[in-house]
Amino acid sequence: MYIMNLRSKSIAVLLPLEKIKAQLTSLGFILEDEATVVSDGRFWRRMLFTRGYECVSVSEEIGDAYPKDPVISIYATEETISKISEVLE
Amino acid sequence: MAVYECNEQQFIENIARLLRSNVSEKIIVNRKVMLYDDHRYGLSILPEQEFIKYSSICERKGLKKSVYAKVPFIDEFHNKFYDANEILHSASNLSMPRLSIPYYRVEYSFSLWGNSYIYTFDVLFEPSIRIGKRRIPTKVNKYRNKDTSMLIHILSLNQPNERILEIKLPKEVIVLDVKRMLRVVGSNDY
Repeated sequence: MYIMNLRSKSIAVLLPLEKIKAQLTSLGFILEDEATVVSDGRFWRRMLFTRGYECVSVSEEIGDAYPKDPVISIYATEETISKISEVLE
Repeated sequence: MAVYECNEQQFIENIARLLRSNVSEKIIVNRKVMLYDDHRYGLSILPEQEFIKYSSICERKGLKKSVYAKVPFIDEFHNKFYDANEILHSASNLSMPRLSIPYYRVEYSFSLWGNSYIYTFDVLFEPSIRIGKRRIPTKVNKYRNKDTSMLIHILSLNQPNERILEIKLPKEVIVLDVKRMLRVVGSNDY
């Protein structure tokens, strides 16, 4: 059985959520689920995108926080991580 | 021995760094998932974006202001009836909401050379509101004759999908589910 070499990467970026979502959608990721999460005393909306074994969670702070810097945690191949990173740079 | 708190980004990146540095071939990460309904989260402290999900049954003037029921409703999770205008979360008692939002507390941790690195987050139950026929308690039933059902708003608090509680980590990381973590502060505690 072929096992993909998946690795983890997590980044916080000062980018609009829409831009990140658009990049994930263009790569074939599908929004599988979302939930409200409280961490660091702050409220976040966590969205889980998946594409096969690969998955990306995007957490954006909700409320009056400014600037918003979504946290993107990626579990994917090196190639997918590079493609997602293109939009983050 | 110290316990270091991390955020999501720090926790995942710390593990990635450890794997890259070849400190060990495998890393063991403990995961604790516990259900709480301890009145930690109430409607008054929710940001507007989250509060809006409840806005068909309750209202408030702003963040950290008192929350009142707009209409009579049944909280299906706690099997409790609330009448219109009843207070659900008082601004003068923010730490003790009457309507409590349940949540899962997820704690990921690993130890390295005696120190623990922890990332904790709470996942709130998701509300859904519908109108259904229910029999409401006789003593508060001022709307109809007793023993009759009536159409009423029903608040359900739904547990989040298990996948959203997970942090995906590389295959070199072994995730062990644990019930409780006993933190050893000093050697005398053994």
